[in-house]
Amino acid sequence: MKLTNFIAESRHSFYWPRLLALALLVGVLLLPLLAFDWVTKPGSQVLCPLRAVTAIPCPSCGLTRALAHLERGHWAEAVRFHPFAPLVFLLVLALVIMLIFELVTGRTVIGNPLKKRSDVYLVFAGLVVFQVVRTVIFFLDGGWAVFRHENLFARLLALVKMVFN
Amino acid sequence: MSEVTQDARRIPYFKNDPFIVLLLGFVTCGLYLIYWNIKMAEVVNAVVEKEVITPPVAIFSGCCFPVNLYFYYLVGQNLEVIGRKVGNPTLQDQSVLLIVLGFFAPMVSAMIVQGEINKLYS
Repeated sequence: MKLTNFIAESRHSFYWPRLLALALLVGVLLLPLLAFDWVTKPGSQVLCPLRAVTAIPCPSCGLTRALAHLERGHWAEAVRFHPFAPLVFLLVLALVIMLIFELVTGRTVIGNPLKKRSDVYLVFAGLVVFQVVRTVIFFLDGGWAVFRHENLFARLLALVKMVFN
Repeated sequence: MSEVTQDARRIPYFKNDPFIVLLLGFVTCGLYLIYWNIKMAEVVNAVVEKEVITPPVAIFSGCCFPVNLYFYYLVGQNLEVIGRKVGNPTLQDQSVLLIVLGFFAPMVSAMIVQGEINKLYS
Protein backbone atom coordinates (compact mmCIF):
# COMPACT_ATOMS: atom_id res chain seq x y z
CA MET A 1 0.00 0.00 0.00
CA LYS A 2 1.31 3.45 -0.88
CA LEU A 3 2.18 5.63 2.10
CA THR A 4 -0.14 8.38 0.88
CA ASN A 5 -3.03 5.90 0.72
CA PHE A 6 -2.16 4.64 4.20
CA ILE A 7 -2.23 8.20 5.58
CA ALA A 8 -5.59 8.91 3.90
CA GLU A 9 -7.11 5.59 5.00
CA SER A 10 -5.91 6.01 8.59
CA ARG A 11 -8.50 8.74 9.11
CA HIS A 12 -11.07 5.97 9.51
CA SER A 13 -8.92 4.16 12.09
CA PHE A 14 -9.22 4.56 15.85
CA TYR A 15 -5.74 3.26 16.53
CA TRP A 16 -3.29 4.73 13.95
CA PRO A 17 -3.70 8.44 14.79
CA ARG A 18 -3.44 7.64 18.49
CA LEU A 19 -0.40 5.42 17.98
CA LEU A 20 1.34 8.20 16.05
CA ALA A 21 0.47 10.76 18.72
CA LEU A 22 1.72 8.37 21.41
CA ALA A 23 4.99 7.73 19.56
CA LEU A 24 5.60 11.46 19.12
CA LEU A 25 4.83 12.26 22.76
CA VAL A 26 7.00 9.40 24.06
CA GLY A 27 9.74 10.79 21.80
CA VAL A 28 9.28 14.22 23.40
CA LEU A 29 9.95 12.68 26.81
CA LEU A 30 12.69 10.21 25.84
CA LEU A 31 14.85 12.28 23.46
CA PRO A 32 15.90 14.86 26.09
CA LEU A 33 16.48 12.08 28.63
CA LEU A 34 18.57 9.79 26.41
CA ALA A 35 20.41 12.48 24.45
CA PHE A 36 21.06 14.78 27.44
CA ASP A 37 24.67 15.60 26.51
CA TRP A 38 23.85 16.35 22.87
CA VAL A 39 20.80 18.43 23.75
CA THR A 40 22.44 20.50 26.49
CA LYS A 41 25.89 20.95 24.93
CA PRO A 42 26.54 24.69 24.42
CA GLY A 43 26.59 25.56 20.74
CA SER A 44 24.79 22.38 19.71
CA GLN A 45 22.76 22.30 16.51
CA VAL A 46 19.73 24.62 16.54
CA LEU A 47 16.69 22.51 15.67
CA CYS A 48 14.18 25.38 15.52
CA PRO A 49 14.00 26.72 11.94
CA LEU A 50 12.81 30.12 13.14
CA ARG A 51 15.73 30.55 15.53
CA ALA A 52 18.13 29.20 12.91
CA VAL A 53 17.10 32.04 10.59
CA THR A 54 16.44 34.95 12.94
CA ALA A 55 18.56 33.97 16.00
CA ILE A 56 15.60 35.05 18.15
CA PRO A 57 13.99 32.30 20.26
CA CYS A 58 10.45 31.24 19.28
CA PRO A 59 7.78 30.55 21.97
CA SER A 60 8.91 26.95 22.42
CA CYS A 61 12.67 27.43 22.03
CA GLY A 62 14.57 25.94 24.95
CA LEU A 63 11.85 23.43 25.75
CA THR A 64 13.94 20.39 24.78
CA ARG A 65 16.86 21.60 26.91
CA ALA A 66 14.45 22.45 29.74
CA LEU A 67 12.89 18.97 29.61
CA ALA A 68 16.36 17.39 29.57
CA HIS A 69 17.26 19.22 32.78
CA LEU A 70 13.85 18.59 34.34
CA GLU A 71 14.06 14.86 33.75
CA ARG A 72 17.46 14.84 35.50
CA GLY A 73 16.04 16.76 38.45
CA HIS A 74 17.70 20.10 37.63
CA TRP A 75 14.59 22.19 38.30
CA ALA A 76 16.19 25.65 38.36
CA GLU A 77 18.05 25.03 35.09
CA ALA A 78 14.86 23.70 33.51
CA VAL A 79 12.83 26.79 34.40
CA ARG A 80 15.69 29.02 33.23
CA PHE A 81 15.54 27.47 29.76
CA HIS A 82 11.74 27.52 29.57
CA PRO A 83 9.37 28.67 32.35
CA PHE A 84 6.57 26.37 31.15
CA ALA A 85 8.74 23.23 31.15
CA PRO A 86 7.17 21.64 34.30
CA LEU A 87 3.67 22.31 32.92
CA VAL A 88 4.55 20.87 29.52
CA PHE A 89 6.18 17.83 31.14
CA LEU A 90 3.04 17.10 33.20
CA LEU A 91 0.78 17.70 30.20
CA VAL A 92 2.77 15.35 27.96
CA LEU A 93 2.92 12.71 30.71
CA ALA A 94 -0.87 12.94 31.25
CA LEU A 95 -1.50 12.69 27.51
CA VAL A 96 0.76 9.61 27.24
CA ILE A 97 -1.15 7.89 30.06
CA MET A 98 -4.54 8.83 28.57
CA LEU A 99 -3.50 7.70 25.07
CA ILE A 100 -2.35 4.31 26.42
CA PHE A 101 -5.70 4.03 28.24
CA GLU A 102 -7.57 4.87 25.01
CA LEU A 103 -5.55 2.35 22.99
CA VAL A 104 -6.09 -0.42 25.56
CA THR A 105 -9.79 0.16 26.20
CA GLY A 106 -10.82 1.48 22.77
CA ARG A 107 -12.66 4.36 24.46
CA THR A 108 -12.09 8.08 23.89
CA VAL A 109 -11.18 9.92 27.08
CA ILE A 110 -9.18 12.87 25.75
CA GLY A 111 -11.60 15.72 25.19
CA ASN A 112 -11.21 19.19 23.78
CA PRO A 113 -10.82 21.64 26.70
CA LEU A 114 -11.04 24.65 24.35
CA LYS A 115 -14.57 24.32 23.05
CA LYS A 116 -15.30 28.03 22.93
CA ARG A 117 -13.60 30.12 20.25
CA SER A 118 -12.90 32.85 22.80
CA ASP A 119 -10.93 30.36 24.95
CA VAL A 120 -8.74 29.47 21.97
CA TYR A 121 -7.88 33.11 21.33
CA LEU A 122 -7.35 33.71 25.06
CA VAL A 123 -4.65 31.01 25.08
CA PHE A 124 -3.20 32.52 21.91
CA ALA A 125 -3.17 35.98 23.54
CA GLY A 126 -1.33 34.47 26.51
CA LEU A 127 1.29 33.05 24.15
CA VAL A 128 1.66 36.43 22.44
CA VAL A 129 2.28 38.16 25.80
CA PHE A 130 4.76 35.43 26.78
CA GLN A 131 6.65 35.75 23.50
CA VAL A 132 6.77 39.55 23.64
CA VAL A 133 8.12 39.49 27.21
CA ARG A 134 10.59 36.78 26.28
CA THR A 135 11.85 38.68 23.25
CA VAL A 136 12.26 41.89 25.27
CA ILE A 137 14.23 39.98 27.93
CA PHE A 138 16.30 38.36 25.17
CA PHE A 139 17.31 41.75 23.74
CA LEU A 140 17.90 43.34 27.16
CA ASP A 141 20.10 40.39 28.07
CA GLY A 142 22.64 40.91 25.28
CA GLY A 143 20.47 39.54 22.50
CA TRP A 144 21.40 42.34 20.06
CA ALA A 145 24.88 40.90 19.64
CA VAL A 146 23.46 37.40 19.13
CA PHE A 147 20.91 38.74 16.63
CA ARG A 148 23.52 40.78 14.71
CA HIS A 149 26.00 37.93 14.35
CA GLU A 150 23.86 34.80 14.24
CA ASN A 151 20.89 35.61 12.00
CA LEU A 152 20.94 33.84 8.66
CA PHE A 153 21.79 36.95 6.60
CA ALA A 154 24.72 37.87 8.85
CA ARG A 155 26.05 34.33 8.58
CA LEU A 156 25.63 34.34 4.81
CA LEU A 157 27.40 37.70 4.62
CA ALA A 158 30.25 36.34 6.75
CA LEU A 159 30.46 33.31 4.45
CA VAL A 160 30.60 35.50 1.33
CA LYS A 161 33.32 37.67 2.93
CA MET A 162 35.29 34.56 3.85
CA VAL A 163 35.04 33.18 0.30
CA PHE A 164 36.09 36.42 -1.42
CA ASN A 165 38.84 37.43 1.03
CA MET B 1 -29.18 27.60 -3.08
CA SER B 2 -26.37 25.69 -4.76
CA GLU B 3 -24.01 23.43 -2.82
CA VAL B 4 -21.02 25.60 -3.77
CA THR B 5 -22.61 28.73 -2.27
CA GLN B 6 -23.52 26.87 0.92
CA ASP B 7 -19.93 25.60 1.21
CA ALA B 8 -18.54 29.10 0.65
CA ARG B 9 -20.70 30.47 3.49
CA ARG B 10 -19.74 27.70 5.91
CA ILE B 11 -15.97 27.75 5.32
CA PRO B 12 -14.16 30.55 7.21
CA TYR B 13 -12.40 32.99 4.91
CA PHE B 14 -8.66 32.64 5.28
CA LYS B 15 -6.94 33.61 2.05
CA ASN B 16 -3.30 34.67 2.20
CA ASP B 17 -0.33 34.86 -0.08
CA PRO B 18 1.85 31.84 0.87
CA PHE B 19 4.91 34.12 0.87
CA ILE B 20 3.21 36.37 3.44
CA VAL B 21 2.75 33.28 5.66
CA LEU B 22 6.50 32.64 5.47
CA LEU B 23 7.42 36.27 6.03
CA LEU B 24 5.04 36.86 8.94
CA GLY B 25 6.14 33.56 10.49
CA PHE B 26 9.70 34.89 10.71
CA VAL B 27 8.87 38.51 11.55
CA THR B 28 6.60 37.54 14.46
CA CYS B 29 9.04 34.91 15.78
CA GLY B 30 6.56 32.13 15.08
CA LEU B 31 3.48 33.76 16.62
CA TYR B 32 1.84 34.13 13.24
CA LEU B 33 2.32 30.41 12.59
CA ILE B 34 0.35 29.64 15.76
CA TYR B 35 -2.46 31.94 14.56
CA TRP B 36 -2.18 30.39 11.09
CA ASN B 37 -2.56 26.89 12.54
CA ILE B 38 -5.65 27.93 14.55
CA LYS B 39 -7.27 29.46 11.46
CA MET B 40 -6.25 26.60 9.19
CA ALA B 41 -7.70 24.08 11.67
CA GLU B 42 -11.01 26.01 11.48
CA VAL B 43 -10.91 25.92 7.66
CA VAL B 44 -9.97 22.22 7.44
CA ASN B 45 -12.63 21.26 9.99
CA ALA B 46 -15.23 23.23 8.02
CA VAL B 47 -14.17 21.66 4.71
CA VAL B 48 -14.18 18.13 6.12
CA GLU B 49 -17.34 18.87 8.16
CA LYS B 50 -15.85 17.21 11.22
CA GLU B 51 -13.50 18.34 13.98
CA VAL B 52 -10.33 16.61 12.78
CA ILE B 53 -7.88 19.16 14.20
CA THR B 54 -8.79 20.32 17.70
CA PRO B 55 -7.75 23.82 18.86
CA PRO B 56 -5.19 22.50 21.42
CA VAL B 57 -3.45 20.52 18.65
CA ALA B 58 -3.53 23.60 16.41
CA ILE B 59 -2.05 25.86 19.10
CA PHE B 60 0.70 23.50 20.18
CA SER B 61 1.55 22.48 16.63
CA GLY B 62 2.22 26.13 15.88
CA CYS B 63 5.06 26.29 18.34
CA CYS B 64 6.04 22.82 19.52
CA PHE B 65 7.98 20.23 17.64
CA PRO B 66 6.87 17.40 17.03
CA VAL B 67 3.20 18.36 17.45
CA ASN B 68 3.51 20.09 14.07
CA LEU B 69 4.21 16.68 12.49
CA TYR B 70 0.91 15.45 13.95
CA PHE B 71 -0.83 18.57 12.58
CA TYR B 72 0.46 17.90 9.06
CA TYR B 73 -0.42 14.22 9.42
CA LEU B 74 -4.01 15.24 10.24
CA VAL B 75 -4.05 17.69 7.32
CA GLY B 76 -2.52 14.98 5.08
CA GLN B 77 -5.26 12.52 6.10
CA ASN B 78 -7.87 14.92 4.77
CA LEU B 79 -6.08 16.16 1.66
CA GLU B 80 -8.31 13.94 -0.46
CA VAL B 81 -11.44 15.77 0.75
CA ILE B 82 -9.74 19.18 0.41
CA GLY B 83 -8.47 18.16 -3.05
CA ARG B 84 -12.00 17.35 -4.16
CA LYS B 85 -13.20 20.79 -3.03
CA VAL B 86 -10.37 22.70 -4.69
CA GLY B 87 -10.53 20.60 -7.84
CA ASN B 88 -7.11 19.00 -7.41
CA PRO B 89 -7.61 15.21 -7.26
CA THR B 90 -3.85 14.57 -6.94
CA LEU B 91 -3.50 16.67 -3.79
CA GLN B 92 -3.60 13.52 -1.63
CA ASP B 93 -0.21 12.53 -3.07
CA GLN B 94 1.39 15.47 -1.24
CA SER B 95 0.63 14.14 2.25
CA VAL B 96 4.07 12.54 2.70
CA LEU B 97 5.75 15.69 1.40
CA LEU B 98 3.82 17.80 3.92
CA ILE B 99 4.91 15.61 6.82
CA VAL B 100 8.56 15.46 5.70
CA LEU B 101 8.64 19.22 5.17
CA GLY B 102 6.82 19.64 8.49
CA PHE B 103 9.86 18.01 10.08
CA PHE B 104 12.53 20.16 8.43
CA ALA B 105 10.72 23.36 7.42
CA PRO B 106 7.15 23.64 8.74
CA MET B 107 6.77 27.06 7.12
CA VAL B 108 7.11 25.49 3.68
CA SER B 109 4.37 22.96 4.50
CA ALA B 110 2.24 25.86 5.67
CA MET B 111 2.88 27.66 2.36
CA ILE B 112 1.82 24.57 0.36
CA VAL B 113 -1.37 24.12 2.41
CA GLN B 114 -2.16 27.84 2.16
CA GLY B 115 -1.66 27.74 -1.61
CA GLU B 116 -4.18 24.91 -1.94
CA ILE B 117 -6.66 26.42 0.52
CA ASN B 118 -6.57 29.72 -1.43
CA LYS B 119 -8.17 27.83 -4.34
CA LEU B 120 -11.27 27.35 -2.17
CA TYR B 121 -12.00 31.05 -2.50
CA SER B 122 -11.31 31.50 -6.20
